[in-house]
Amino acid sequence: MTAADGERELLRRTVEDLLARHCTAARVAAAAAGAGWDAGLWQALEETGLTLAGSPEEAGGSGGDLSAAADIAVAAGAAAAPVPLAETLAAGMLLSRAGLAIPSGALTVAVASGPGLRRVPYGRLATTVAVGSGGSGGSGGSGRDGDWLAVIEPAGRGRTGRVGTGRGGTGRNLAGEPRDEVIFGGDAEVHDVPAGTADYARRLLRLFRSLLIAGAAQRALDLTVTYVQEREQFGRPLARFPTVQQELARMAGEVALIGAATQAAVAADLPGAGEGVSAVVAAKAQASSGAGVVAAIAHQLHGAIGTTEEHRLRLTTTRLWSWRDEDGSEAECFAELGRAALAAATGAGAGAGAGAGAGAGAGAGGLWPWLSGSPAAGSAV
Amino acid sequence: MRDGTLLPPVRPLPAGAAELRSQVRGFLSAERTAGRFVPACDAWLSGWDESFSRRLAERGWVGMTIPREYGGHGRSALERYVVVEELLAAGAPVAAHWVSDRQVGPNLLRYGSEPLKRRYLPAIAQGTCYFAIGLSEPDAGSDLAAVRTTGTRADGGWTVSGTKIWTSGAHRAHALIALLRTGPPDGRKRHVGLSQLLIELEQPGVTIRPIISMTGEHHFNEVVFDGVFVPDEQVVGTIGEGWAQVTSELAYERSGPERLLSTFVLLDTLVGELALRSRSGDMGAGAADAGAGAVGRVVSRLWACRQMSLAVAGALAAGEAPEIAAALVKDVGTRLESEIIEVARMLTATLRVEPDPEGAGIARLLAQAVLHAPGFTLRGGTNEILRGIVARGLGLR
Repeated sequence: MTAADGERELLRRTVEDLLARHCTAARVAAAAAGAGWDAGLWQALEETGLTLAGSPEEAGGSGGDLSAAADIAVAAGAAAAPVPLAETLAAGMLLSRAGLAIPSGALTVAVASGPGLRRVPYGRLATTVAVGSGGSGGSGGSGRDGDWLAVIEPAGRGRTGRVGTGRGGTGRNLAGEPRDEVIFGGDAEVHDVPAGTADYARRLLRLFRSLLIAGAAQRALDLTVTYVQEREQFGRPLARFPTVQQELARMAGEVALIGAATQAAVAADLPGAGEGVSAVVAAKAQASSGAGVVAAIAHQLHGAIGTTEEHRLRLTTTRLWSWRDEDGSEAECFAELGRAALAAATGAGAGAGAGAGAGAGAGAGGLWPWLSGSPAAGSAV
Repeated sequence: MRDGTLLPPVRPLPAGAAELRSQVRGFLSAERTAGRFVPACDAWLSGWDESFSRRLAERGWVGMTIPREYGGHGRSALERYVVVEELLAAGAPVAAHWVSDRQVGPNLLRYGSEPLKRRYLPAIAQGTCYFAIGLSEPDAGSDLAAVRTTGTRADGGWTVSGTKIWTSGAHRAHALIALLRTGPPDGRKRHVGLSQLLIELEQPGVTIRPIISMTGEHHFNEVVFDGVFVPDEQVVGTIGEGWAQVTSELAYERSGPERLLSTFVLLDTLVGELALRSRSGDMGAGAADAGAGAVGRVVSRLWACRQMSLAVAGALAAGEAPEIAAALVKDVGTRLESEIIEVARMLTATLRVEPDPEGAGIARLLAQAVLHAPGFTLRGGTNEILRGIVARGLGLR
């Protein structure tokens, strides 16, 4: 184990311990039923500086790289932490990349498409970092050509008239996490930001949502492994039944796939999303499509007790069912990847000199260079 | 259990991997253009082409990890991974040297005696020495420890009798690496008393009978040993340690790119065809969107499986033994190989293409894929057995 590995492991353990202390089933459920978050947990996280890992200290962050922020997000997903931790991590990275200061408190990110900002995670509680491109941004972006970014404080914190959680109203996802409309008027402070910022924000959100799913999927597996060892039927633990073992192994396969995909997306280094498959889109596709499988097997093996309010499993599975649709469902990601695959197939077919026969013949298409993230020989020119 | 125990960390490929990749692509492109091979599904089982193996070896891409002193190239396991996945993705005919390169070379390096290494490794690296694997028997399929082929102590060696089955390529291979019983089991501990021997196939007492597949092809054989003398020099590793030796190889066998890419050529060709048709306006926008979605589904899964396989390869290269993750790669990857066929069928229906073994392009590839598919989830340990291994790793049994 290298020194960096050791440090990463230490951070991981610190986060997991802190979250485990606070994220009892009772408190997670209370957050969903009440204010929408756990203020005590949030305060504890802020005190440790964990909420701004991955952002440089000059910008007001806690330092560390993407992998540190990613590990924290996975832990948050596993613990079903009822706070905008992943959202704040993403917002910090987004702001510092745009060269803007990171405000204090809980943050969330919204990418504008059409008028207003809909289903913003924790919109009622957190300062919203809104980004958009050109005229696509509705009220805030009107009149701008390039990418823009606006920092919008939640209602009731002063600066009235700029923000509000209004017409579209407040909402919740299946896990009771706030998903609110955030409205900002023409007097909002809007910054011009480098081209590509909105795209970057979209990738960032997808990545962090995938990491949350990875954590939750692992937790669903852990809960299920424990349950089938404890629960006895026909005079022996469920774990002893081969059919149960087969299903659990299938579940483990999905969990491992999500883990590999998300970790590879982190390693692919977000801003440099260059050649080949967009790792973030592929990771979200995998996380979203696997989430349903994982939740279904978890419930099947838990039996009826898992479907109750009192059982902890639902805190995890309701998140899986919500998160798979947020920041790009698998259908959206599949379509995006598929279109890119088709484009790669035609592009490299011509570039590599395979000629018109590339499609009709076998092999040598552009799919593999694209999939393996390595450009086809000779196609670069 | 925490995240990370299920899967080793995803590590980057070594520096120079991209350069190596592009060299292999250049070679494959030239081979294809010259008509020296036609890409096929599952070519690592069915594409036996000794001249291709030799040409590949001339480039240094067979027995890559064998040290120079044994005629190899001293490359890393991850460099070999890069070369192998390029070959598989291209549907290249790698069956002749497949077992030698993937299994026997590393096995001999790890367990082989000095004379054994000197005898076989240089020829393996030259792409001229081919092996078969002698694990399964008529009564020992998934239950491998039930092997009944025996080696009886003889003067200076072992006398081997018994039957091996499903031995791919035995009719063309030079030798077979067998797991057999050289001593009694220790009560219920059936893994005791097993050993690995290298048996030359061209000698009296060895009978090789073909088993023709439903494709009409001849890959599999039944190999019968009737009092075959195997000298002590041909013992691999330690007598009685065969089980441990065989199982330590399995992580390599289960997690490699061949567990994901057996139908890749079909997917590649299909995507190429769809791309052409949607660009030429041959396809309605609705059909093109549906096609893209379906392609995206398998492509994202393939990408994720590949990351998993790479993570295991990285762990193996680092000297770890990620048994659960390796079993998971094979379970997930081989099922994906068949899912690709289903997507291809769905999409080719609109192209009015049906599988045809005598056809060309997609029709032929579909025929190969459909008929080979049942084997994907059987070979190298059935997926049910693998899931049992995973369950054990999770603490369930």
